[in-house]
Amino acid sequence: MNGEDVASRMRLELSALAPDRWPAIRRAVAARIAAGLLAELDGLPRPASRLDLERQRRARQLAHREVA
Amino acid sequence: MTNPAETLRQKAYRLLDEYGALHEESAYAEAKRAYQQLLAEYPDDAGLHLEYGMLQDWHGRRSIRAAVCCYERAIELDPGQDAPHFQLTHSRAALNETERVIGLYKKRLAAAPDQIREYRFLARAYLYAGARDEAGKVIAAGRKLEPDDPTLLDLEADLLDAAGRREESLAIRQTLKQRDPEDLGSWYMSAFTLEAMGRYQEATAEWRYIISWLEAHDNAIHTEWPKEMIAGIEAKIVAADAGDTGS
Repeated sequence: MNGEDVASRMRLELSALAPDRWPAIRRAVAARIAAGLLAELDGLPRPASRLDLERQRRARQLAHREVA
Repeated sequence: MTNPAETLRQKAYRLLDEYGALHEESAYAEAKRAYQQLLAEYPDDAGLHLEYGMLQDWHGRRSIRAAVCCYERAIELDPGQDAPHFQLTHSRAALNETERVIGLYKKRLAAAPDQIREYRFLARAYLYAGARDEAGKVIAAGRKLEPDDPTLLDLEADLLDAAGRREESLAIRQTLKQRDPEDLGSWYMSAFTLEAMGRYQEATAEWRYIISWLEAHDNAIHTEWPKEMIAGIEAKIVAADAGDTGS
């Protein structure tokens, strides 16, 4: 049984044994998962920003197009 | 002011320039007519094709930008719907503006970390940005919360496919198909993957399933594209057979 199986089984058992507390547990777990994820994503270089590319593309087209 | 002696070619270019600067639909419509007339007369003029392409490109981008505004408004009016989020991500990607949706969905996830849909939105935004590592991290995090979420599994299959891990992608699609045979998404995606792998007969079988499902659900109007896809695959089979026999 791997870590994922254990977590999945615990999740099932907790939700069955403590149905009234499960939503709060889930929220707390989710907050930790998301905080860890977002910290990790913020630590990575951003995917190439393409916002400026759109403006550059337009400027380049205007600059280089030949007069008919 | 227009020059009374202006040729049609000059007029077309002037309207193209005006549309590029002012974005008026009337200039677009007039320029389109002028270029179509010119292209009918000079079908081999590369310059005309270039300019007409630019006109269509600028107009198309403005249409997509208008669609973005519609999706944003739909989200405001009906926050519970997922579809406008998916469309928004798609349109932003077409405009090369995935950064905007990535930023948006990171904020939303931070505000609602227990909502599985927020992981789906963010994963898709990264996937459409071509940021596969980030998409994978978001999918993995979401699956810690909901291990069997079908949308995250579907995104994982997309991710594996994009990474060239096609057998693994197909295995996930197979699971999704078994879980929900009424959701055609996995059949479509499997058909693309199988065709890309050169497994033409299997790809054709997927399209045939899609056609039969659509016909059984009074959706025959949508069978045209699957039929075109089968015709394309059959042409590839013929070409491959011809190659095999050396003819």
